Amino acid sequence: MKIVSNGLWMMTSHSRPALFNSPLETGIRSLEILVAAYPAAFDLERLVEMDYLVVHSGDADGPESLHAALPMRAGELLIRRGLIEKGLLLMTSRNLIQRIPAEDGFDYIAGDAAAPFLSSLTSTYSQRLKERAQWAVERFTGVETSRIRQITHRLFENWSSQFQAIDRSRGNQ
Amino acid sequence: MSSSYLQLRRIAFSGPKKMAEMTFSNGVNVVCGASDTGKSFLAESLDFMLGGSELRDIPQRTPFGEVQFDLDVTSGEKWRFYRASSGGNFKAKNLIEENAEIEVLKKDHGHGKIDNMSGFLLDKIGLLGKRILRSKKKGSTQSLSFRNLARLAIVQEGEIQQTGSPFWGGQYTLKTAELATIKLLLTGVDDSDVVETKWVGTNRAKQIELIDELLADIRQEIADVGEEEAGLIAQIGRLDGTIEQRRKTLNAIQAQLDSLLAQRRELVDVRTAIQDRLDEIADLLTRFDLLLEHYAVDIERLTAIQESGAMFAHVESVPCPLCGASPEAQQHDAACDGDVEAIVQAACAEIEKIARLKGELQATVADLKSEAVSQEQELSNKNEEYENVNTQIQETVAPTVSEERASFSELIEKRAEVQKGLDLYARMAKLEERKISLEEDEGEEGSSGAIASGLPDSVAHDFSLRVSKLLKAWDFPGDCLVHFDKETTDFVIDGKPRGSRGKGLRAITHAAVTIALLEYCLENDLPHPGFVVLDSPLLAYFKPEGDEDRQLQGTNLKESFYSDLINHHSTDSQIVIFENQHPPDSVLDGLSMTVFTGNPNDGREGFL
Repeated sequence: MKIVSNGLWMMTSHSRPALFNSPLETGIRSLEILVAAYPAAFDLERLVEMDYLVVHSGDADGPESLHAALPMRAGELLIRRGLIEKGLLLMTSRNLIQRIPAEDGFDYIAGDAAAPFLSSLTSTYSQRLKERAQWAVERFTGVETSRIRQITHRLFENWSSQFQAIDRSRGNQ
Repeated sequence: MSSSYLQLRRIAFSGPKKMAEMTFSNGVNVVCGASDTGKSFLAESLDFMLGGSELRDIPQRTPFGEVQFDLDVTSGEKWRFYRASSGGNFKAKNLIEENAEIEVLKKDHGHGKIDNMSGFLLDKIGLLGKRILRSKKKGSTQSLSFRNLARLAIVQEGEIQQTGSPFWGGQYTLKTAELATIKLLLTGVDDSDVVETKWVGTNRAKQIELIDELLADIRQEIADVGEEEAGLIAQIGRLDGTIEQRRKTLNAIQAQLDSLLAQRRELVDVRTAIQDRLDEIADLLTRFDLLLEHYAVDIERLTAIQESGAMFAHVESVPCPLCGASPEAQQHDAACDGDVEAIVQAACAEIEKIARLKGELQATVADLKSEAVSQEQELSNKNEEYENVNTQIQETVAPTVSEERASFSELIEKRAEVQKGLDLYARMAKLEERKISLEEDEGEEGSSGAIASGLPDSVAHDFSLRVSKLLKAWDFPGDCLVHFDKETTDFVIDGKPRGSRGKGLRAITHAAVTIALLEYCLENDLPHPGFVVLDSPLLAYFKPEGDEDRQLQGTNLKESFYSDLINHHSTDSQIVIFENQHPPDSVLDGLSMTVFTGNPNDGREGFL
């Protein structure tokens, strides 16, 4: 029975990447964050932090985490920045998000069609996502991105920031 | 010096339900009656109460556990002694001093000490601490014991008719000592002076001396044990039986305990196994709950993807905001994993797949939960079993085992103690054997070189005259010329050795020698027990043997015998005579008489 149950676990883990954290999913998450933040604009770095906080809100004393706790959560981090970037690009292609140049790089801001589009989504998951995005934006309004990163670093402990460093180096390539 | 003498007053057998007693007065006491009425047993009882080692076990003795014995000393003391009829030490009570404490007197003689019956009695008659010669050759001596005197004062039926000298009991090795005892009584001089010479003797004498010291120590230890050898042997036999029985019981109960302990260990193992499985199930259930949670979230998430993908497909593409390329020219689908339509479709399929997995997992969880319930039940059963076994061990079996073990080791200890006592007897026997063999060697050498010892000629002559005078007074047939033959240490009467005469003559002459000794000592103020007990001196009248004995029956010896005794013994001396036949009527006034009729309907049937 043990083997069978492990098999179940592995099968789900294996089949996940194709759908989960796809540009569509990460794009929708970024879109929710930017709509909640509107009219503020976030750069990629802040969106990565906010995305983490939305998904793992429970860890940061927020609402119950959107995703269940998973020992292998570090796996997500490896590819988060790249995935988020791809999602942003997909959303930009439909004009749901606009990329605007700023002094220190690009910022992203929700487009005009973003809010009506999101309000058409009625699934439970979408509702919960919306709540957490609103919580995260409200909770961290006026908090420096570097400060937020300190918080997520603390949540992840040292190993997580190492993955993040790898993540960033890949993202910068 | 004025000597003190002992007087028998009373002997009584007492038991929880009955008491049999016999009193004695000064002068001549006669106990007469048919055979098997306890006369000889009574004579033996007197000897037993004067330090004899054991009492014949007759059926009539059974109801009586204790023997009491009253003794007067002519100096004015009155004593009562107590002794278990099975033997052992004595208790002595002073009947004059009211508040006197009861003293314990050991049954074995110790030289110069009055903490034992022998020394106590010797002290009363002024013979305490005397030594008598044991070996002529080596000049070794031994401590005088009351036992040396007792056989001269109490003459049992078997002894009175024996062929040997009245002075010695027949044991060759004791001959010197027995003669030395007579010499001490007749002369009042002991052999203490000889002590010095014994150290110049050979190694053998020293060995004997050493053995004597060892024997004295062992006798002391045996006295402390306070049990006869036969009693110890019987005791160890009983103990061995009990030990064997107990060992079996102990083994059986130990086996029971072992089996229960094994059962308990097994139950602990089973319990641990069940608990391990329960922990494992709990662990699995926790993980499966997490997995189910994941499945639920995944399904929700996929539903959201499906929905948002479907919606997303309706949002119009715009030219690239950066490069201005038309949507058609952009290749999101291929380049950016942006094939939304395919994603929506895959999400549908994935939802179904996860739903199926979730179902399977839920079934597994249900199985595990039901297994947990049955394991819990099993665990509670095993707990109950464990408690039962444990209670049985702790409250019943284990205490029984430790009790059994304790009483078993108590028995083993007791056995070791008894064995120790027996070892003492064994050592004593070995030493005595060694001593006898040394003395026999000595005796052989001694016989070759004649050493002046025994009775001085003048004393032997005087004493022989005394015996002669008695025999004449008793109307003994013949001239009654008596002389002492040093070689045989016996008397020759009218040219015939005493021992060569018939049984009846041997008995009456033995009585004559015994009474002569008493009278000689009394007249010369020499130490003597002061009383004489004779079992059947007039044997010829009851059981004549040969013509000589029948001749005796024709004379008036019987009357003369009694009247002479009555004339000479009234106040300070005492003579107790056991006889089958009544004394003649003519003498009855002068003596105390007890008759054992042997008939339950007439007077006193017997002693006990």
